Amino acid sequence: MIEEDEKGLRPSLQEERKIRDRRLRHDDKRVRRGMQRHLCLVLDFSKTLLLQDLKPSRYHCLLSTCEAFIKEYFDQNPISQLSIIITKNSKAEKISELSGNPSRHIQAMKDSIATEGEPSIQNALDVALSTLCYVPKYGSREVIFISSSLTSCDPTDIQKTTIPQLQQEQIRVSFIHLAAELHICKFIAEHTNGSSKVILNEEHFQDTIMLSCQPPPSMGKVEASLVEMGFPQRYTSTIPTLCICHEKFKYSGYICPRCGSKSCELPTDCQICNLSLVSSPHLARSYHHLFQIPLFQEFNWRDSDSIIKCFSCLLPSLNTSQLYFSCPRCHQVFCLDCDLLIHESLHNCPGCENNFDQSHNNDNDNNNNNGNGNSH
Amino acid sequence: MVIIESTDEEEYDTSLLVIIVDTNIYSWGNRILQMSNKTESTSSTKLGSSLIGFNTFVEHLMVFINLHLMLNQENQIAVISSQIGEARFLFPEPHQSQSTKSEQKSIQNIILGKLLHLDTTIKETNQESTSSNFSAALSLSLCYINRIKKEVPIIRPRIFVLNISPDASSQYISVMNCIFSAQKQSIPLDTCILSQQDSTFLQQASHLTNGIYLKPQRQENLSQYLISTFLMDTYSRKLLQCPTLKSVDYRATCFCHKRIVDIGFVCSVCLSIFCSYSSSCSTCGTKFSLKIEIPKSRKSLSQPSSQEQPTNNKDKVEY
Ligand SMILES: [Zn+2]
Ligand SMILES: [Zn+2]
Ligand SMILES: [Zn+2]
Ligand SMILES: [Zn+2]
Ligand SMILES: [Zn+2]
Ligand SMILES: [Zn+2]
Repeated sequence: MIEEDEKGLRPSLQEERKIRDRRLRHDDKRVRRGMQRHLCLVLDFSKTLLLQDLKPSRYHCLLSTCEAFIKEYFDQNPISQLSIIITKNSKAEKISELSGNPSRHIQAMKDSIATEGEPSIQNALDVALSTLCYVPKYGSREVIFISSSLTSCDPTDIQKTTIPQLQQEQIRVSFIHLAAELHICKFIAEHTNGSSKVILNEEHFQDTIMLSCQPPPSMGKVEASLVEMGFPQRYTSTIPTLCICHEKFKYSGYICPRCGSKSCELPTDCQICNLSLVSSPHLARSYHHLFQIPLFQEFNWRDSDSIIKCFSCLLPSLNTSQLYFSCPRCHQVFCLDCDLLIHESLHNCPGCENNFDQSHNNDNDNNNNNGNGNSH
Repeated sequence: MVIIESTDEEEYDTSLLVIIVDTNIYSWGNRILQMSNKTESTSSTKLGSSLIGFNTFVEHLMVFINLHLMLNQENQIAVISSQIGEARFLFPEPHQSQSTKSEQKSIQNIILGKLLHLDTTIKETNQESTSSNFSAALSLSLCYINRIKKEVPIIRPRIFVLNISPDASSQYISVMNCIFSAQKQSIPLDTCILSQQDSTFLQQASHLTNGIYLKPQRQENLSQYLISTFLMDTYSRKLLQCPTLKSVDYRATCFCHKRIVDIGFVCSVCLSIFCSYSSSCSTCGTKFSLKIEIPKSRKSLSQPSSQEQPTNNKDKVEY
């Protein structure tokens, strides 16, 4: 009998999967990324969404997956923006404006329930174009199209009109297909530096879309600039004062450092003086993309006689199936769980942090037998 | 149903407490200076008597650690010292092959021995920049918690920081990385400040992770503060009134001078913050166009300086 865990994977398979995911996420470090992203999420709300090949139905699967994606997108790209466009009945409609407020997008998506007719790829991309062409040049422009139908109802030749415009505006278009890949979608993705992927099942859908949370490498020449931003302090007053966003009297809020008006939430743009207001932790959330820690190499500990211990959690090596990895910078050894935590959640190498001020004199015994990943 | 659920949660009330002790030898050395200065000039001031030295601090801390271990047989503890340039485990001991659980007596002795050994190295200095390696200590704590959570999934972890050194702005990014990781895993970060200045790092850390931030006024009663505020686990806190912060300083630190700014210039490629305008970004090396663009302003886009604005789009534009 084969043991399975709650995900239905055999333990060894799951282990392999973890390792593969780990490599996947870190394959393209050291590329410059457009940190301020502007994304149009296009949802195909055609009648094909009612199909039940994804459980409980394509519609419900799409909804829950997109909700998780939107939350994660703003988590990882705190000062980026998003807009949702839906296409059905051969038309396309923007249901939420470009903004940085995740709850507003999720609500708008849940409010539009009717799924009918056929989608129009061209109309949807035209709406995305007219939304994204106003975005300042230093921001990255992206479209993620979640396509469910195998047809599209387009008014003119998409290859002659829409695609050149997308290229000119440097908009990257990626497709995620719930059914099968359309030739035209592959063509668009190839010509705009995007990607085109077909999902296998519900879980694969989630994994695929979550990969888009990491900022894509920037295209061509980046027009960079310094953006003036305000970092307001949160302030609670004894008497309520008027906020500018809701025009209500409130006790606490964020005071614009330039004009002194009060806003309730961050990030936002001050409605009086137009200064972008963010909090410093909001920006700091993105810094781990800048200063990425190197991939750890598998450490061949089975040759050494002594028991080794994970540097950061002290887990000793007890049986030979355990995997250990070493950091190429500080040469400390970490267990698999710590390696995953360090690369996926922590984004600090505890060993390198320890060498912060005294980079030379910390070469310890782990250094000598630093094998290069010959597994058994 | 409700009753069953609540007893369930009470039954598994084991906690993992990771204590980060700031053992910066210079900060504690300066404390000796401070205390002797105070007693010389005005022998009866309350301020002078409200500061405590390292030895007294260790006594108070040991009372707290004992109580934590006595509260529940299954409670676990780890102690990490953050020193100048490095952080290391005091308990469990990294080079001994003992398990993470041992007799309460031996745990005590190990921790006490390690801490008092550090006492002999305390020095006085006039140097200003003698910060502890707090980011390394925090990184170690999170990895250790991750391991114990795998071994005992129902355990409730929390981190408790006892801090005396000033913030090191060079550690800002790595400290923030740790805070976000703790926040995502719902690990509260409690702080007890033993110096007279507030710590912006730890204020933000406690606020973002739903932890408690406290700066005791009278340190000679430290163990009282520790027991009444920091002993209860995360479950009990929902039922009790905990100290909260009135205002949180969310201003940024510029990358160029590590100065606090409330309006700054942010690189659009890497989001580094600078206090003044410059022609290129020192973090990512990007050269900036001379003009400062104001975000989301449509005017700046239609200015003649931004060339090659496509004209064929104009018929679609709706204002
Ligand atoms: Zn408001
Ligand atoms: Zn303002
Ligand atoms: Zn480990
Ligand atoms: Zn390292
Ligand atoms: Zn500066
Ligand atoms: Zn930069």
